[in-house]
Amino acid sequence: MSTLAAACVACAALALPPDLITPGNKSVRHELSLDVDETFAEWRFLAAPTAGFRGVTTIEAGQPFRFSSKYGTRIYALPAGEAPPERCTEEWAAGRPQSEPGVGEIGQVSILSPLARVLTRLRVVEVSEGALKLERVGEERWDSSGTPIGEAVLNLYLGGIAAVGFVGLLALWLRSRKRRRLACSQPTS
Amino acid sequence: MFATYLLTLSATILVELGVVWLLAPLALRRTCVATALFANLLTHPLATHAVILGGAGFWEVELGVIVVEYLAFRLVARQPARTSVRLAVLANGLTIALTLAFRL
Repeated sequence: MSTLAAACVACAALALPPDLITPGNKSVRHELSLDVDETFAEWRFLAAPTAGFRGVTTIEAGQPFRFSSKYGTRIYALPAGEAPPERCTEEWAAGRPQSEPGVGEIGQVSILSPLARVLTRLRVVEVSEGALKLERVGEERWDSSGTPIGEAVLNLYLGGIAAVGFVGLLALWLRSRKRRRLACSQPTS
Repeated sequence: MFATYLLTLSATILVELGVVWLLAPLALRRTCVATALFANLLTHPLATHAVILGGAGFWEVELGVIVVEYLAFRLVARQPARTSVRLAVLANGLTIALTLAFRL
């Protein structure tokens, strides 16, 4: 009965829509921030989805803002003196400098992961007629207590431990092989 | 964070070695336990990296770990296939269950 119940849960989990958290996973807060050089002072930048019902977010330079890969968030540039629209319709967006963030949203991770928050920094490289070029500058990650998750050092430690395990297995295998050869080479009485 | 990881690794190794100690054939118990120790030192950090830093799926990675430990018992400890499967599946199954129980 418990096997049947587990199978039903597994089948239900497979059928879950993508914005629900898969069993065994947890949600992650993934935000973007946009660095804007004073060269682009005459522009203001907006983030808005191309699907769904959420509105427009006016981006403040360096400040985190939410985005969604599922709802197709795009970043638009408009003249600083122009009022942002309530919704970025296709008609409004036509011909305006715009770009996808170029960042895949990390929406959920395994519950074993300490990851709780991600901030990906983008930078405006170019604004021209109909085109907005963005560049990814960096990414920071934090656990639920706000402690940064540093990848480089952790990778070093993990790699070191894995190397010890590999060498240990190799040593055991070589010892086992040596014993087998000794056993085979000894004459039977 | 690394201190937390070491605690997790130590707990995993303790549990898995305990299971292997109980289930391994008597004559080859020490060999099986040594194999389990080094297999866990190899697979646990790689699995941690894959899940936590690489974003890989938990269950897919755990399946890979079981396969690697099965191969370790087969090739290094020279255990028959059935024994190797039993050791790899039961040892990892218990640690998976404990991990999920403590996380939920």
